[in-house]
Amino acid sequence: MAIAGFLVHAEAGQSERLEAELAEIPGISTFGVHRECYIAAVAEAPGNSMEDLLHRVHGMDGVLTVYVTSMTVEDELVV
Amino acid sequence: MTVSRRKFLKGSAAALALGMVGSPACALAAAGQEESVDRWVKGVCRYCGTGCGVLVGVRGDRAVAVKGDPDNHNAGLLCLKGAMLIPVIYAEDRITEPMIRRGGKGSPLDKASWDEALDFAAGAFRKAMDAGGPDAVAYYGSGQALTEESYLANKIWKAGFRTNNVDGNPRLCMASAVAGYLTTFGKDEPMGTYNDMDAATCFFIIGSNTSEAHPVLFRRIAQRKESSPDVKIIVADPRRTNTSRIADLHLSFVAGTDLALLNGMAHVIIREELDNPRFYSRYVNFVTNDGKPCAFEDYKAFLAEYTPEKVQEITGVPAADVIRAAKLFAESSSALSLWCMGINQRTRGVWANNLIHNLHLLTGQIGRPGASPLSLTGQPNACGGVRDTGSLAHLLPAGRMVANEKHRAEMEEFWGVPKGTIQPKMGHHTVALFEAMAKGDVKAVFIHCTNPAHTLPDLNALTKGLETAFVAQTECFMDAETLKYADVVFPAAFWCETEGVYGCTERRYALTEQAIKPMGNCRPTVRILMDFAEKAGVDPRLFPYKNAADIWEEWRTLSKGSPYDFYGMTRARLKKESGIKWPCPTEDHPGTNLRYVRGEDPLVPVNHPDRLFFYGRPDGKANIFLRPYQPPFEPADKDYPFILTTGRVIDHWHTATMTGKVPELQKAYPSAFVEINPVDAQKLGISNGDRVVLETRRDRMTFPARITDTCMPGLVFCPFFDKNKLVNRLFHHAVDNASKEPEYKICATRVYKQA
Repeated sequence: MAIAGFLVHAEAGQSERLEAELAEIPGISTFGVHRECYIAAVAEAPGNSMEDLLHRVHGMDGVLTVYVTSMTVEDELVV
Repeated sequence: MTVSRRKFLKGSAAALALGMVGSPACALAAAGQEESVDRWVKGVCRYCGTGCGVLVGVRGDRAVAVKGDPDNHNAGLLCLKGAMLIPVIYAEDRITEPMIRRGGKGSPLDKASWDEALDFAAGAFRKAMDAGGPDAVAYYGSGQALTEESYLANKIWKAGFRTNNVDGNPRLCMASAVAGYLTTFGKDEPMGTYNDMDAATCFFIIGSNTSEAHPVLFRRIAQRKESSPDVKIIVADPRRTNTSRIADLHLSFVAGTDLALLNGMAHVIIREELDNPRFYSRYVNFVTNDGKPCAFEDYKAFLAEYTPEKVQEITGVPAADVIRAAKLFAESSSALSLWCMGINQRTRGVWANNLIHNLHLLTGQIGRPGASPLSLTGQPNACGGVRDTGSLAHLLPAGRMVANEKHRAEMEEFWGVPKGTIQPKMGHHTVALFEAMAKGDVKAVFIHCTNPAHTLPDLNALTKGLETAFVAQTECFMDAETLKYADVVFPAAFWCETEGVYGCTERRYALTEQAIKPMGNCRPTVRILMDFAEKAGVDPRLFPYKNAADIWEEWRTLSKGSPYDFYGMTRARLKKESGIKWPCPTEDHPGTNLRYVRGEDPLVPVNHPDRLFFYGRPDGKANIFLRPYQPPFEPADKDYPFILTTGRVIDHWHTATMTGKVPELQKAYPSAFVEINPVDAQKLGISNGDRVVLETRRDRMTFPARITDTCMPGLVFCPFFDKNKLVNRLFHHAVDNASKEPEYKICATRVYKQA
């Protein structure tokens, strides 16, 4: 499983709606809107699907861009 | 444990995301200090060589919070270690009183007065010099010491005690990068800066786990990749670290074979006609491995054997990937190389550095925004404090060399000491210094701001000298391993309890201002050094300073007109600004991003006929070296069939005397472990958590197993932060011929499950 911290840069006036929509996506937690246009969020997903998840966020209406701020991949195998 | 770690990682991810927008609430929360502050004091993070700007929140007489400085290069972002510096200041085991070992080695450390401790140390140094002359004493410093401290110690030892036995832990991390820059470009320190990360279209990261060792820079790289999907990232590393997980191409090579990989990339670049003859015919000399001039055709012939297929045989990297890497690098509009200890801590570390520079010079990927070789630094002030001030056994300040008579004469004149004061013979480099201590040739050493009994290679052999030589040590924390050997301990003011300059990877000098008073009876190290030196018999006219600012003023003046010119960085300006990049010759100069470039670097004449001028070389041209592949000192063999490597984890820094004080960090990584590939684990019957023995030709140690595909088959990894598992006992102490840097990254080992 991978954990990514990221910022969503929202179009003017879209932040609150987007935060609510993001919070509905499984694996994503949000941490508020900052400076009116940045939504702080954390995504948790299998490493091979994290890119798809972030791509999906990037494609949401009202999203200007997504900044990944950290990425951790838990790669311990239970044997 | 799994759940709490995941929660912790998610919290860390949230903190980093919030830090990106400079949310003070985040930084306060991350530090566990949700309190208001009276004032914010500017400084630099105490940890790695990234050199993030911080603001220390002070309430009353206590530091209560840390947040990122939005005006520094990190734009307000900190990693979790930096955000959690406050608990380190107030750690229960801070040393706040001088201590001496009245009963000699093996007896307890007793509290002492400052006078008693200083007299004790000074007496031992005088006695050592009476018995063995000036070279019977030494200074062992640190890339974590403040610039003023390193400059002062260098002056006291070389011009006061008259010995060049001045070295330090940068020898263990950056010496190969220094020698690489010197041999290729004629002067130390990189030509690029972090700004290049925002312009590069191809990142070539080799021998660096940036995501864990330099997380804030990794964020910048990831951001660049995220914002520009066309940006390509190549990661060359035997381990599949988190850094490699953002890569377009991961080159997982057999540890120690990267010289072949680098020459193979050069081979492909020429074969595919991706080289840049217009560039190298104007700015480059070709040089044989033994230093003789040669021609491009000789270089081409030299590279002929490094076909992708041959490189695959040596390195294990598929030939197609060697070709792809070469093309990505050469065909990009701007390629940025980043490397760190995987390249430097090698018996051919200097050659490896040269070969990285070769790729840039061969393709002209240099001297433009985003196109540069940029070595990453491990400590916060190895560059500015030790390399630039010349606080190593072979150096003098601002790029001068001990062996150069003219350079010695210049320093003697500037320091106001008689001609001939500075000895022409180089002092002992680090490994030789500790060997000389074991032989009794060096009888007394002053260790400042570092923990060699934990960090030296081949510890069983190299700590013998500490058992017999007199050891004076400045230290902040009681759990430093080296304290076991100290005869006298000076309690040094820690980080924002004093003031001084740090110089990070990108030639950026930044001031940490004093935010709070030193704890207990601690003193600033510059005061300790001057008081000690005077009692030991050094003429106090050599250090007529009231404080660190006075020392900075002298050092700034000395830099004037040199290739390290930062005369424009007055103390007042450093207080006002969040770091400045040298060269910066005048107070109105903004600092330099592109070194050696006309119109950018103030040391290149504005009317110079060429756009690039490598002024460190006699003819202004850089060198492409014909460096062959050579295997590591101790490759795996039938008796010791695995390769052991070592490094950092994200939540600890160096010997964890600081990060170990932060419960959140300590909980994430409470102790060292060994990473083993699942294929090897299955063959050896090892499961997660099993006790696994690593046995090398030096020693044998046991670690809990982590079964993970991070390591390729045949490779095992142990972090080195754990004082209870000193993994460096397992390593040999062979050094690079030129840089004298040890090969921490590779030794042969046996691996088996504990019976």
